[in-house]
Amino acid sequence: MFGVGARVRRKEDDRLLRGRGRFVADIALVGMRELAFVRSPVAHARILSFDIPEQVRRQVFTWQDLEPAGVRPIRAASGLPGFKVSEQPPLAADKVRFAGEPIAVTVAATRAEAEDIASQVIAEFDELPPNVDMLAAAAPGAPCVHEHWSDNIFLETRVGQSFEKDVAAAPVRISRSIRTQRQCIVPLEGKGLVAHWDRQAEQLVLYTATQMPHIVRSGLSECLGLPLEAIRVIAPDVGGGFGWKGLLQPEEVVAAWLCLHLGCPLRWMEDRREHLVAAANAREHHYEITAYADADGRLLGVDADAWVDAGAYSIYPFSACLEAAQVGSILPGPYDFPHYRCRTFSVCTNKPPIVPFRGVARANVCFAMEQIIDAIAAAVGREAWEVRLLNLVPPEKMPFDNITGKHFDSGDYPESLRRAVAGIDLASVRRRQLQGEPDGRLVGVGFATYCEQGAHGTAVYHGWGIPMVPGYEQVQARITADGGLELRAGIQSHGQGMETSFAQVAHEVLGIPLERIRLVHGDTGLTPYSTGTWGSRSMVMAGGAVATACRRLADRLRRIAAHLLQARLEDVTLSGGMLQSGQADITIAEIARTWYLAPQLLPADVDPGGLEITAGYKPKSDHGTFSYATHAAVVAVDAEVGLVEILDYLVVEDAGTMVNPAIVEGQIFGGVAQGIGTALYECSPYDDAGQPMASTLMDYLLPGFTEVPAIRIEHMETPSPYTEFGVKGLGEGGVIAPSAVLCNAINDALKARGAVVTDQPVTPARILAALRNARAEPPP
Amino acid sequence: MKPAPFAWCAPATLDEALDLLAGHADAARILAGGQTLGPLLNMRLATPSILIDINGIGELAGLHPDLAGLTIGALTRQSTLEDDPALAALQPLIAMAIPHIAHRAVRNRGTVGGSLAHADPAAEWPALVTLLGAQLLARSKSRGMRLIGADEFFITHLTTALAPDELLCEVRVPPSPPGAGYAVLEFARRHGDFAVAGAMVRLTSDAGGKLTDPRLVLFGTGRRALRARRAEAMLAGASAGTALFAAAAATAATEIDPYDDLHASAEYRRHLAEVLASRALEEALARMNGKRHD
Repeated sequence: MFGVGARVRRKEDDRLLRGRGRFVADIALVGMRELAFVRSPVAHARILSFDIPEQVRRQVFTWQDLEPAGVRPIRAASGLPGFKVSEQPPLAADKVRFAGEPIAVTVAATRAEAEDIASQVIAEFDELPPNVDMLAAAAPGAPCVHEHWSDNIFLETRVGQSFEKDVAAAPVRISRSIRTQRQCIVPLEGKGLVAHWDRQAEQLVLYTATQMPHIVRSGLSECLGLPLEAIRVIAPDVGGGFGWKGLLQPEEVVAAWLCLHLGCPLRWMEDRREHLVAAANAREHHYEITAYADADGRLLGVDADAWVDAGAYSIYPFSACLEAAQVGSILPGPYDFPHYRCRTFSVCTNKPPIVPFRGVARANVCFAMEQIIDAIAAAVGREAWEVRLLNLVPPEKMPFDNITGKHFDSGDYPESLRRAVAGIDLASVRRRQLQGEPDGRLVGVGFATYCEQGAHGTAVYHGWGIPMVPGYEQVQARITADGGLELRAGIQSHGQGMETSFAQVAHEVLGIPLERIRLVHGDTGLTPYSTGTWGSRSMVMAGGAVATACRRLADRLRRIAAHLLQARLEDVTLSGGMLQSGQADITIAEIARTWYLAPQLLPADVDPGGLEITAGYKPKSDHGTFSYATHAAVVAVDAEVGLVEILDYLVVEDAGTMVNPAIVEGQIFGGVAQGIGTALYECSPYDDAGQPMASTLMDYLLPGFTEVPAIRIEHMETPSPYTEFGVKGLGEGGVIAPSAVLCNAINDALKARGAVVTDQPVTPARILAALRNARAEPPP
Repeated sequence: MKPAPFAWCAPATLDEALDLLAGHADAARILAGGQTLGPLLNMRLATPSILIDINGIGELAGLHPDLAGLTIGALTRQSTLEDDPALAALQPLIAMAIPHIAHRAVRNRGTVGGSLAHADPAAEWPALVTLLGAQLLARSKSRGMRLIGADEFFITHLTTALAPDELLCEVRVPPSPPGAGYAVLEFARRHGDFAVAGAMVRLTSDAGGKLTDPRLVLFGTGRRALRARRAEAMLAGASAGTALFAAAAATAATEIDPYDDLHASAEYRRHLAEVLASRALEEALARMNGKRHD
């Protein structure tokens, strides 16, 4: 078994795990020079002048060099009404809007020398008051980040109507202020690029660590004024993206222009400090939520205001509003309730632009909504899982259109919860709590259930009106003369194992052995257009296109086989890489040899398209697939010092049909590890002057091997009715629930002391503060 | 994150190293394991014009136990100590503390002398030598050999009594008193991080069960690792007990001068110091009484 559903080892791991991959940093071109960026030391200021020593003047470039040459600012508008457009010059023009913004670039033979020069470039600033906190920045009278705007709101959205009359008699009313922190993304490999001019192809070639080479190409074309055919973007091996590599970056524009200007290959490798302070920021939300419920805990309505700190600029292509606007549509989560109203604000601040991070907005809304469910349960005196169960969309209602019009495709949400309750052994945790711990720690258990929209298609994205709307996903499939298969896809695999899973899909259809199937991806010169790998879409979309292309190749193979076997077409079957009719058979390799090398044997009406095909694919409904899961955790809290230990962690998930369960589990393990970081450790704080305070990995705490427990996974497999094989997107799922689960478990542990934590990360200091507050204000 | 230009030289003998130090003093930095200096160079927080790489000076590495205690060469790697099967019997506290030092990869390169000379107040070695009453041997061309007591060695945060031309060469640790019970407790958000706060304890008692020469060191809680002498005075001559330990821990927490940083407020550090001191005293007592063998 090597096809869909097989737990095969990843083909790409042989090179990746042995350190034999080829990443941007492994690429060296003759005559290549290195870039270093000079970054703004202040958060908000007018640039008055540059002082550049004469001996290095020719190695330093600013916007004064780029703008006259026709370089255009990065512009990512949304078509949503009221959206305010920001323009981001790839090197700051007259004004800097966040500390870390690139203001100049230096070129030298080595990075060290480029940094030597960068340290000699001095800018003089006229400092302006910075907008550091999103709520203050959104308030009237705050200084404008973009001076021609009337306020600092990129976009305000409203969903639903006021419903106070309808819930006036609700016995339960819960209000919470909830804050999620600014995070950095921190893939193992940071951003990096090599740019050169290919004189033969007359093309700018940009090797760049990206998830979306075709979109980077479009963005470069806009900023540089070059036609698309003059640009080739290649993503070599990429060491993790998580969203950080799902955008056009200013450094890409600068390096590309400079390569054209100087006529030599250039390289820039983002260093970890640049990563932490200048760019890869995500996830900073604030919620004011009021929920209403009946005496059993049944949700009657949710009324929410949500703010997202979108930073200084709108990023290309996702824009500054995608995160907040999604909050409005996904806050109801997997629940069915009658009344909903939500306002969202994408707030412009003097911080790095917020970029999409795995589980965009989903992890935050899950953190908020699942706290609300637990609070309702506490108010009505029931187990939190019972209240969840009462409100989850039941399987008999599937497919289900929820209150914001999300179309849940399939699944049994309550069953995932019931299995999690059984699997975590809630009863024994409750007994343990009664007995108390020998070491005095407090034990708690938490649950969270979510559903995750992935693989959103045209139907979802055209409404946003951003520079990118996914359509038919195309894959090229080519059978080689010796019976191998080449797949060419415009997505980019950077840890998802697509070289394996796509081969499994192709093998399922054609029966060609996995080792004879190759995936070519991440190169605009070799692959069909694609919006790339983001939004848990590649397996659904490109995987579906692989299946479609292979099926059409199978038809062509059968036609040739029928002729060669002297059989009727309807009698020819394809199985195990062999075409058969009765006792006669012929291999795919023999047919391929005939097509390429012995065409005289082909039928007269053979399809002249031959054994190469480009197929486009969309699911039957492209509103997105909805995978879902319940996570459960048991924690022990040391109430004296505030430390949390995760004693048990269980995931009961359903992502439809699994192409490769090992890859699915890898996605979940990694996602949960990242979610644990969100829950307990990671935070990128800014001081009052807008200075980032976590500039090294000693200050930006990532969970490591010793902080991530063994994670148990139970699978459910409800196929999507709309996709090839019933697969659903699941790449982001693991990261969505951990912060909610751990927060709920910690609150369960603290409830004996009357303490509640509401903000993430749940640090020891926050736990102790909650305990202090509980002592100061004992519950009534 | 690439270093500013510097010259690199690798003396083969101690004498050559001291000559270089004498010649460059303020402009030079000693490169041993490089686990701290490397990042400081890359972030250009340190910009020496010359690095004196002592890794080739074999005589600076190694352990030499004798009747006067244990002599540890400054270039001894943390992992050498960690892997030495005799260490737990000779110096139980050092053996207990080493696994708290960062991660194994760092311990493979990082050196005892490097940690001491860097004098991070949250690091284990300054606390160890302070508690154990070790002496640090420095050499220079101008002063020759000099023994510095741990109490005088650490001036403040990242500052020692070493003169610019002096090289820390070895650490002399007195023998562990018979029957001593030790404890090392650290609070860190993640395993291997610098301690947000830490406590080390050594307890011994006389035939009548009274504590003799109790030692309590708090680290990560001020500008240098600190012997909590008032708390020690409360313990000395008293009979061990939970109430006494709680009182001593509370006193110890008043002796420190904690600081705020991104990971903890001064107030939180003081709270941690008290909790850790109390727990470490209990743990050391259990070990002294033979009730705990881990």
